[in-house]
Amino acid sequence: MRYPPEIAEDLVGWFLPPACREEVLGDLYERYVNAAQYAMSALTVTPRVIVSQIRRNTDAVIFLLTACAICYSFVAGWADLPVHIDLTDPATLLKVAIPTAAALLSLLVRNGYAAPDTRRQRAITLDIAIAMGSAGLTQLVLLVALRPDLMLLRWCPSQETASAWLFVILLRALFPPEMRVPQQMRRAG
Amino acid sequence: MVDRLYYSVNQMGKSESLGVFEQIILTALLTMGDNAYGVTIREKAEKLAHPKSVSIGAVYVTLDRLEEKGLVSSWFSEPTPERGGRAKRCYRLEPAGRRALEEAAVTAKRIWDSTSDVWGRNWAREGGTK
Repeated sequence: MRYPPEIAEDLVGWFLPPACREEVLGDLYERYVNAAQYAMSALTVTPRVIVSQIRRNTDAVIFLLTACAICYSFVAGWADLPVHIDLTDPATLLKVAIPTAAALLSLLVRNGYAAPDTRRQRAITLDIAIAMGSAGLTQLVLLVALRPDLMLLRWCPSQETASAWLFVILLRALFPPEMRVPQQMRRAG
Repeated sequence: MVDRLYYSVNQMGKSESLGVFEQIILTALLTMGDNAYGVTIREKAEKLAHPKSVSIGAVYVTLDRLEEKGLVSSWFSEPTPERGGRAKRCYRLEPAGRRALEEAAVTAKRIWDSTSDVWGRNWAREGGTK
């Protein structure tokens, strides 16, 4: 019987959400024929199980509230400016939408990778740091790509911004993305 | 009459409507007993879905959705060497899943009867291949 290379298993295991890592790696191991087949199976399975876990661990209402709060945090950064910001202007909305979408996408991915053994406090801190980092990264990418017209220029954090992010922290603390694992494993773990 | 109507509407609200692939997965679980896990479910589902092929990814996603709906449940078996020391996630049909599959099978039977009435008994005898 042939076995998949350990490095390939480690790599696939790193991408797989913890909720399904054990059985997916086991099934891929059992079905192993050659490296190409293993790679193809892993490439087709991994995105599907990630999306499945995201869908399963994400509550639509909580996600919508999070989206509103993050969007508000970026709009609020403009509140104290002397210039009038027209929020009905599609270009302005796009400037807000880009970092908001990046932050939300990172939170969604984090939902997919929710694990029971992660300490809640640490996980929330990491969630928020990654979300803020993703939003910041979009601005850096726009700067490098020479598209400052799409950046949140003259934006600065305000009390409202902090309140909005505090609300996101509260939402994630009160309604954590739950990973569901079979009872037997939960007891053993 | 009102009672009967109320009962039917109530039942409709409670029962899960299943997609074709969900029906295939539930049928596979029904026939497999305790040895139903990713690899074996995919093999059985592929036989049921013939000539279409079934990807293991689609099986995981569907099992996950069915578990969320409460139609199936899962547990981990002991780790085995042929899986690199990893456990199997085994699945079984729950009573709600059995009911949903029964309803789907009754509907499929009605469709089968109606189509074979129109397309002829020979078509039905040949297993639906024209």
